Amino acid sequence: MKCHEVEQFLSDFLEDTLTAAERQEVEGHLKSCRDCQLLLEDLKTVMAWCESFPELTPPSSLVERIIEMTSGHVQSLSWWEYLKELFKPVYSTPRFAAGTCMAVISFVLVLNAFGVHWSQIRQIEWSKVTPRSLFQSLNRSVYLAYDNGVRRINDLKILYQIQSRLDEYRTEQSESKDTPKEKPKDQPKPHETSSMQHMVAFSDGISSSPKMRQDSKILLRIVIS
Amino acid sequence: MTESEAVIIEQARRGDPLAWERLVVRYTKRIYNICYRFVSRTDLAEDLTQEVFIKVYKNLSSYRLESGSFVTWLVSVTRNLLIDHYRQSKDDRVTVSSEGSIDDEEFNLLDRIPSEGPSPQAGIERQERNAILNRGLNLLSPELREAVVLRDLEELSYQEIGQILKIPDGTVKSRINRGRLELAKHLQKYRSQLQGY
Repeated sequence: MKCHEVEQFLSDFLEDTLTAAERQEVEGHLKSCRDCQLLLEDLKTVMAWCESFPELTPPSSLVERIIEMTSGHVQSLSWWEYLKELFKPVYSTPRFAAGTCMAVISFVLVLNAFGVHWSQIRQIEWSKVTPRSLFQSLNRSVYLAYDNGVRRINDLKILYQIQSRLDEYRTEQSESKDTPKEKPKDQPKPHETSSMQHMVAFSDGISSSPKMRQDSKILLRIVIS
Repeated sequence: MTESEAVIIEQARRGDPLAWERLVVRYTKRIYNICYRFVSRTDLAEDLTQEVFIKVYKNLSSYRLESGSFVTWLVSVTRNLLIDHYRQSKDDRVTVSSEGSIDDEEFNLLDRIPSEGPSPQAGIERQERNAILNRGLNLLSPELREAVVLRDLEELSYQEIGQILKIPDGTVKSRINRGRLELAKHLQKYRSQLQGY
């Protein structure tokens, strides 16, 4: 047998579908031909690579688009039904079953660690939980968190504004006096103080003089309004 | 085909939207992957997957349970559409250079493959391996590529492939063998190029 003839049998040789005579002939050639041996090795490699070649995950919007363009009924499956269909081709394999068990155990442990108990989960109405409702709920949480963050930053801005006004007021007061007093050494500079120091300074300022207290109250009223 | 699947298909044929949605969710990933193996572009694979399901939806009434499994029919529709697409884009298609390095699209796909494995080094090796294989598949002729994809990636039987491609089992075997040999030779060539640097 020549090399090009042996090549025709190599897949069958690896899949063990040759007759005894054909197999003997191929083996005989392989013993004496280094090139065909290397080709067989690479063929094995390629087949092994194909076997472990990972599947791409399509974007989640693809299913939605397909349904919109065909039946028009988008995401009417419940969450559980959706997952069941999605994993239908693989969930019957033993490997998947073992993996799922491990994942469930880990998930329950993590939930317990975070203080979520089974009784709380059972109160959820699963029939109302769909991929769409879950997405909307997550979306809402993200927006709420974002809004809270923005509000906090705005509060800090207001606090800094109050502080800077008070600093200005203080500077004006000290300049208006004939004998300027020396500033205490430990007093922080206006732009180098932390927010906590600002709050302390703010309360000190309020209690330092009746006029200042009155001004601060007016300032606060403006900010609140 | 499982009994439940036959029921779902029958319901979908009668116009049950829920049954149709089940079929779409169940097979989108598979069809998308077959399309990607042929066109090597994620955006095109998405469009083609969409087209396949539109075609299947329109022709669902022509599918007969007795004539074979639903998957075989679905893959057959996919294959016909891919061949049409190949013929249409043949003239203006950019052919992949056999000398160049692994291109961006091949590496982009790797971002969407879930990572598994013990170390980053193993991950890089796996990515490189997948990219070489993907590139090798791109260099095959459509006849050989579809045979290898259906057998070695989709794990269909010779008989099913014969039904889809409408060719005898002997031809199926021969195409698969030739496709694999070309992939193996591509690997050898890639190795010798690496040694040359």
